[in-house]
Amino acid sequence: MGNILDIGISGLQAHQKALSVTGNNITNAGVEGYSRQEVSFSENDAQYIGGVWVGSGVNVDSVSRVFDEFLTEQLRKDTSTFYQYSALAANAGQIDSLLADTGTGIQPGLESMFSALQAAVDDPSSLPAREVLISESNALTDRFKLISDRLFEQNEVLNGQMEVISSQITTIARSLAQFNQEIQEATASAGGTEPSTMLDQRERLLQELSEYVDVTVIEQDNNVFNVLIGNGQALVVGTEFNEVFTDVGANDPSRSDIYFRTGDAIQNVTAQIEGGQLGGLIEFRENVLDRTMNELGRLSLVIAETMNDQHKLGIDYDGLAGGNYFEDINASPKPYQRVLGDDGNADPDDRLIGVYIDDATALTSSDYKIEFIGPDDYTYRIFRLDDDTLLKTGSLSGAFPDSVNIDGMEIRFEDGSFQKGDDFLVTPTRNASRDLAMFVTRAEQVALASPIATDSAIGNIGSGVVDPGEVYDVTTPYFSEEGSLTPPLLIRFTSATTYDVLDNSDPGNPIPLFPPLMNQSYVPGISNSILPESEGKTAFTSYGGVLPVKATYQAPSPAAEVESMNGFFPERISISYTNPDTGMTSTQPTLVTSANASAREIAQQLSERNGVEATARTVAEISHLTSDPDGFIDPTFTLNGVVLTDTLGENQSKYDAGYPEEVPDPLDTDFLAARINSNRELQDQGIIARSDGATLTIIDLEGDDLDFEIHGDHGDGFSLGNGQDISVVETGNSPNIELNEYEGYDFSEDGPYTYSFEIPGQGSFEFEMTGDYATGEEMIEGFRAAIDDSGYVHSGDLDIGFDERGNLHFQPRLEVTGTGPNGSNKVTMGGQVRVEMDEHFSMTVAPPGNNLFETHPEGEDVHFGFQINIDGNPEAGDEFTVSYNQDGTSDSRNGTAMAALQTTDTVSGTSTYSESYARLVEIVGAETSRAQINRDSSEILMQNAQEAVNSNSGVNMDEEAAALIRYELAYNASAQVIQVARDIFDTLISTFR
Amino acid sequence: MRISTLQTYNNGLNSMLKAQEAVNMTQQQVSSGRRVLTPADDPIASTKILQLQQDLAQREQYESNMVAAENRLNLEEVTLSSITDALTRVQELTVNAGSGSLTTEDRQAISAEVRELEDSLASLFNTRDANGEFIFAGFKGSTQPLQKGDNGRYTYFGDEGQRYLAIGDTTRVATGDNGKRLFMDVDSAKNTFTTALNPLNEGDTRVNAGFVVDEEAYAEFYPDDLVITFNNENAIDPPGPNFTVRRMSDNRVVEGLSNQGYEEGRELVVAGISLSISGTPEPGDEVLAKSSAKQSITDTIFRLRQGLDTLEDNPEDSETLDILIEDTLTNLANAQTSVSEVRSQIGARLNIIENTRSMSEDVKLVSQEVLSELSDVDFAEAVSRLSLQTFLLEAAQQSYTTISQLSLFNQL
Repeated sequence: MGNILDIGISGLQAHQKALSVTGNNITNAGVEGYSRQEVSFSENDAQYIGGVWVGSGVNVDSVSRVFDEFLTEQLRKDTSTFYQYSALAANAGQIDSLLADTGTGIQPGLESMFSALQAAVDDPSSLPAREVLISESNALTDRFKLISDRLFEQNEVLNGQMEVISSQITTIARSLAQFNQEIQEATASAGGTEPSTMLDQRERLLQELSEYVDVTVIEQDNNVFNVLIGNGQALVVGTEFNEVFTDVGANDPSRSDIYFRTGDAIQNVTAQIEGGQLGGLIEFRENVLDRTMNELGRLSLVIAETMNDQHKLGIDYDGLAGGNYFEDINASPKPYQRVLGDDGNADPDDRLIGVYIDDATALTSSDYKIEFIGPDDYTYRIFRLDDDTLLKTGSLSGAFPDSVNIDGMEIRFEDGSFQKGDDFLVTPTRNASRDLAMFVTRAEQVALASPIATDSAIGNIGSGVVDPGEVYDVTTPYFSEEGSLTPPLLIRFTSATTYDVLDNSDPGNPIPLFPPLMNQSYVPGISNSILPESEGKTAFTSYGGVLPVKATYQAPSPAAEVESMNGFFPERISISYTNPDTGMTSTQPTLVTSANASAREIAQQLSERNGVEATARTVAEISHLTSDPDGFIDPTFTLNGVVLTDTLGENQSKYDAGYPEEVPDPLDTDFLAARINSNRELQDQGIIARSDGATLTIIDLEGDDLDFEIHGDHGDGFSLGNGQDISVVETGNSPNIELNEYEGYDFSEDGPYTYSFEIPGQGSFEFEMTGDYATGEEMIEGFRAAIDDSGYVHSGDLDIGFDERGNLHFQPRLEVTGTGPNGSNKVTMGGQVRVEMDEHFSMTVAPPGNNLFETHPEGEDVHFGFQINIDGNPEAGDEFTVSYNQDGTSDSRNGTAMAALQTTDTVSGTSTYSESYARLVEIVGAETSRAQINRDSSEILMQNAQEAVNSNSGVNMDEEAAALIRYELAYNASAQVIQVARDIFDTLISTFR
Repeated sequence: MRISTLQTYNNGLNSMLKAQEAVNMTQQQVSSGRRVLTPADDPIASTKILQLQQDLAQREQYESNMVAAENRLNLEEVTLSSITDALTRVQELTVNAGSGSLTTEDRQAISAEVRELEDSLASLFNTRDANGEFIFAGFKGSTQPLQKGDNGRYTYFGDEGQRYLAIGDTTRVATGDNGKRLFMDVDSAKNTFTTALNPLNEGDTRVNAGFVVDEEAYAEFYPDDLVITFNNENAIDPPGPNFTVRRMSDNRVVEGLSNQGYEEGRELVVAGISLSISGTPEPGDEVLAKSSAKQSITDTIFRLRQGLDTLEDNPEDSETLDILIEDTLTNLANAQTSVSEVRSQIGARLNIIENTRSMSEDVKLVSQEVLSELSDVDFAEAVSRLSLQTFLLEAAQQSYTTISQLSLFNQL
């Protein structure tokens, strides 16, 4: 009977427990992460009573939570994926709408600027239109700045978010470690029974952790969990935890990195973090934020560079050079802001690297990394981070600056103790859109006009038409003077197929350019580019013909023929090429010219070398033709073996028709010029002659030597020069009159009167005038003596004269006279070689003291920087001029060229400004869209997992209500059992009463 | 499957939220009329939209350029038409002046009317557009192209610039013509010359227009040019300003014209041309006489007027007058040709603009259609979608209330 009572009591107790478990389930039904608990009953051990086994009631075997660790783990995974994409989508969505918004996007700004530019181009003289252009350009830079500021802000927000999340992770880690401890103790003290509530709470923490970062849980004995994040960083091990925190980025101080502290060791785990909000933020920063910043920066660099380059080619409303439109993209300190030294670089912090954008159109949107890999302190490697390409392995030369050119930029190592282990992050484009700013501020400064204007002479007979010309480089000497073209050019046609390009500084006396550009060929009827395309080329000329000390005597026949010589020394010429990338110089085999070689031969030899093109021409000037008044032989004048003073019969075939038949006495230059020009043999040799009545200029267009021979009386003769006129420059005080050959001057007062002049190949000479000269003749003698004393070595006499403005100039001249009836005098004039060298080629000449070239000839830039085209059929004498575009306020050629940039493929040479921007919008849009789709699908997965967990562990009220009824019934029944036992007991007692 | 109570509520809530989001999205599309709200909605279409918008903006720019070009060309055409009328009147007067029955006084009366016409032609050539720019000055729009000198003769101060406007990606149209081509480069009946000063001159040297006095001599000299250079004053005795005349081509001194004493305003006849230099030349100053087969319209009229004013009623002058009238008529006819050539070009340019415009409008229409297809919402579809989504939302709400009322506890 006691047994029955016990049984009843056990039932009461068991179901009371069960009811409280059910009640607990019901009340906790709304608690997030609560796992419903189940009661399991078991029967008490039976007792062997009276030969039978009688049961002894029920007891609660266990109260366990319904929990499936696999489902939970799945939920954690899906949660972390969802939060990752959610963070990515939320942040990317902000940029997405920022870029596409008409109020903030770049596209409307570009359109407005270019339409304002078009309006200004339509009406270049309107200052209001230019004002609008400037304000629209400012609006564009503001848009770039606004987006850039928002991106930088977003980066700041990211840093903050990462910091909060990291500290949250650490807090959770601390709690988890604590729970591990408590659960371990509770489990031990409860004899292995698990403390459901604590387990649920720990589970909830893990669930929260998985929202922040990907979590891996490893279960140990005694319900202890080890927690790993990222790819294996142990956040919690048993009752210990490690700290996660953010700090300034290793590569880039503006970008926080995630660090992991294990004891004393600190590890940068940014790259290892995956999943959760933290993973999403890091992914956003790498794939969207940095990329947007870089793409936008690249676009702004391309816009600034291409617009600046074009703007520089123009001139503004005031006729001044255009200069930059936007601020210089390489203005200090921008080049240094593009490089970030790693904070792990060894002290001292003294490395200086500048990154200069050479060619923005070749830039990529990638960042770069420079690593000093050792084993020494000068070997480095440069990686492009986008595609992880090794671009260059190089080594510092030890001298600063040391440059390397990559992807449109020049990385210039400028100073510092570079060491093995140094790392640098190069971000050429990141800050650029923030830095985009206008340089031009006043409406007048907008360079809409082109600096050159062409004109055809009113007297032109032919149908040649000149185009307005195109400027593509204003760094050449032609544009070195503000507000003028130095020198202005005159293109004069010498025949229907040839033209000269002359220096038109003095329209009354156009002179050859230096180096000269004469006798160029023209193809009639089509458009001809008039100026040579010679970017990077340099040119110089040889000294020119050497005047011999005296003429060479030729004894009369039958004596052997004597050769006269042009006097050129043999020379050894080396031509070198310097590789601009490596700095290595390679020299071609030395060329040796033979003594007295003609300029033509030397030019031919030079032209056979790589990188050299040489031409030659020979000029001789004959003046002061004299005739012996008492002479009894007629002088015979011979050029290149052709007698020019012969008298011929009617059927001669030596000269063209119309040649002068009469030989004048004395000889004059007009006669000689006419004979030379009509002589067929000399025509074939390419020899032409011009006479101004006093001086005969003979030109061999091929550069052969010109041999002169005179046979006549001692008084017959001429004076020979090489056509070079040397100007004497005042370096001291100016005389108070304009010096002239008609009056003297007193140099002894108001001095010093110092002068200098320069002789090709001999250098510069100086002298001072101190004498008092009564007449012009005496003064000229005085100058002659002073020039002689100045150390200048020359043969022949000096022909000294003044121009109308009192400037002194002279030429060395050799008197060549007849030798009387016996024999003749010969003299040979050598030519001048013009050498044009390609970029990076140079020439050296040995031995020193040669008389052909300077030892190290310095080439003059022959690059004009502009081109003009002439079309049609010009005739001899037709002239075209190229001059500065003075007062060209209605010209908008350069503006048109700037406007054309809108539709030019400038970015990487493949897309226009707006195409490039559209691509960025597309990239960000696609990235956002991908994140949104992934977010939505992972949300479903997460909900499914949640459902599975809930389905298993969640409380169902109906179920609990049923259980409540069931346990209540059982409880009531157990109470009945006790009642029965009591009845039995009562019956028994009353029986014995 | 077992369903927990929490799950029931959550599921109901989630499906309502989803339905709301969809309704909201469609509502935004309908209210904004845009299908693509952010690029993420359709990245590829949004790129195309940006490109099309840019293309349309460009096209609008071209259209406004066309209007600007038309305005300018029309102004030019009107001006040229007035010039044609004025030239015709000068032609009539020239013919009248050639009548043998006229006296010197009659001719001077005609000359007075010619002078009026000359000035009105000059003011037509100096026409400004609405922006105040001289339309015939080339690139020097703020410089008055024809200015009257001390000697009553007009000189051109513009340049040869010609302005263009872009009216298509590859089409540019000239929006004007420079005065040099229009009224300076007019073929002349006879070879003539223009005088000029070297810009490097230091003294106050001046020169008149000059004219050809001996055609034979000039024909021999033509097409060479003359350079008159002032020498040092000491080159002559007694010292004084003096000059040397050289041929430009070979720098040869013209026979007998070395170191000539200078006398202000004296007529210098050389190589068949006559000119006179005035002012105070400095040594080194240069005067250029450049040969030309052309004569400006104003010079033609100027020379006619001079002849009418000065030629007397004697046989010698009559002959000169006849030649002058004949030459002037030829020159005026050439001027008319020059002007009418430009007028026909203006017509051609206006045609190009018209053609380009109609073509551009077609393309624009297509672009707009494509843009609309890409970016605009299909209202019929969107509205029906909206009503479906609204219905779904309502259904979710109703089912939620129904399900949430089901509980065994209600039965206890």
